[in-house]
Amino acid sequence: MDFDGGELGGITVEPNPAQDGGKVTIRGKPNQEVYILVPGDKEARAVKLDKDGKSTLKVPVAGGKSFTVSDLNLPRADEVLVRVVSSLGGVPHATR
Amino acid sequence: MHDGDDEGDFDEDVREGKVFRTGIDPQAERAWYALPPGCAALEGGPPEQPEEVHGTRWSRRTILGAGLLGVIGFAAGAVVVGLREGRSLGPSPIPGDRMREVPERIAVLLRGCRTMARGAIDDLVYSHQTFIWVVESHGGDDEDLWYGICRLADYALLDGAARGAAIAEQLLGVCHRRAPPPCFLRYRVPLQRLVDTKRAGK
Repeated sequence: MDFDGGELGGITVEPNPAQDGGKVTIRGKPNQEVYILVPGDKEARAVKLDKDGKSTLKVPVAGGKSFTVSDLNLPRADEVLVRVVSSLGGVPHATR
Repeated sequence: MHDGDDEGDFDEDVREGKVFRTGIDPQAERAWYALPPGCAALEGGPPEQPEEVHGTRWSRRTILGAGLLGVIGFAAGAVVVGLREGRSLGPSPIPGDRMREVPERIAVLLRGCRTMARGAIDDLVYSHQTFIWVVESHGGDDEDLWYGICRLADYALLDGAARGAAIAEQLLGVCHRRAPPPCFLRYRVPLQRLVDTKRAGK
């Protein structure tokens, strides 16, 4: 598992770290359904990749936080941790 | 029928297609002497073939009117659906912007996570982000699930490197958002120490 937020399996997210208020592009298998997991949120947002295996969406959290893109296929789910940096820059870290 | 003495000729005729099999050929055309559909073969009897019923012929005006009504109905339905879901009438340029619950998968996820909690540590670490999210969002104080969380904490502390620090950071995030059960309290200080050490070392 690449804990710097890189790719493993088939899902990639660019850019990573993402920019607060920006957009990220998720790449995976064509027509794959992935889920945006935001820590503390009870809902998992479903995202359907297009026929090219791509989808773009707005960064769902603020700078300093992170979210996960996962296919929820347990026990070996393809997942990517995306850290979000604020627009002012700085070292990404978890919010206390 | 064929004469046994001419068996060789019969086979040849079969090969050349001169032997006709008996039976009704559904592809055959109507004979010129066949009765029109709907006519009885015997006086007072039923027709051999039902009368063909021609469909209603649609006029051009009818077709255009039906198409226009269909378009209006579709547009009205799209507006109603959009308003109910809180969308604007303008285009949404970024797909995946709609929140959708997946309640039918929550039970499956919880079941899978309970299996992972006591299963191979490799699987638990491999999918630890998903596991942590499920436990925090839907696990409550489930003992089995938090047993898995504690195993992840043990792994992070034993690893002590970037991988462990990343896991520790996520586990601490859970503790900050909600009160963990008593079984996890003893991990907070060592996990925080691990994260602080890693940050200081960067």
